[in-house]
Amino acid sequence: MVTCRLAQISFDVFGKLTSPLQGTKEFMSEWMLSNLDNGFPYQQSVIDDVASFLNVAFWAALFNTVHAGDKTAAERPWRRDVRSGYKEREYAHTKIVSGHQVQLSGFLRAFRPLLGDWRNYIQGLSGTSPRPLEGRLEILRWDLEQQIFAVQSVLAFANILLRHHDDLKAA
Amino acid sequence: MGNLLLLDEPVLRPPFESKLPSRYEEQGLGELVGEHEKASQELGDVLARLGVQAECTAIIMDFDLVARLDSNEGGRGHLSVSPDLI
Repeated sequence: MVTCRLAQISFDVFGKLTSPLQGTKEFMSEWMLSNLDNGFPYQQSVIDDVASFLNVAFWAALFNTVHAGDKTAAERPWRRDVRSGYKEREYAHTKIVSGHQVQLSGFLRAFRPLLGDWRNYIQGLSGTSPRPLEGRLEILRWDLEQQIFAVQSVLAFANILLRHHDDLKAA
Repeated sequence: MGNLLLLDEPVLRPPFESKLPSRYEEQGLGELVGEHEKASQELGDVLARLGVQAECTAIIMDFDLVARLDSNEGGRGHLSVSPDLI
């Protein structure tokens, strides 16, 4: 699932971004959670929504009940890991997409190539550090850049989905 | 089996034409507006190849999966996705 709701963004009178961080912890981006862990300021943006989408996709693949009886022993700790913390979650994701030496359920096996490609796309991105925006024009530009990024990210995912569409339908 | 692509932001809804307010161009951001239009058009083309109809605001290929997300093992109501929203 991908949600591309643009981040709710607000600014103070100095053009400083003031939006509070929000989201469901299990799905929050690694960038956001690691900055929170370290007490660093962080600006939530569309990029975090895009990363959350991937985390939801992994979650859906791990916890789906469509083929519940098909789960393998290897998947049990991953279901625990994705609920533990972002480091454990990232470890589980890595194991899933590598997936060469473990037995995967049919559902996860079918999704693994798509999840791997999408994760590679996400890992080529990086989170956003807060920066003050000066004046209306700079705020408008930032906002528009966010919207462009949102469309481009959905496009990237749609292309990945298209690439794997026939295999997923056949699975 | 498949996944759900839910586009719940107005600027992303089909037919994926740019619906950006004119204020961007008025402020001299026409180049970025063009970039947005180009990406939107490409997205529309790809989604059309995936069989998405222009009237849809969501794509779903595994209805069962989404319907069960809230009640499945470990699910704690994280996802307020209900079938009637789709």
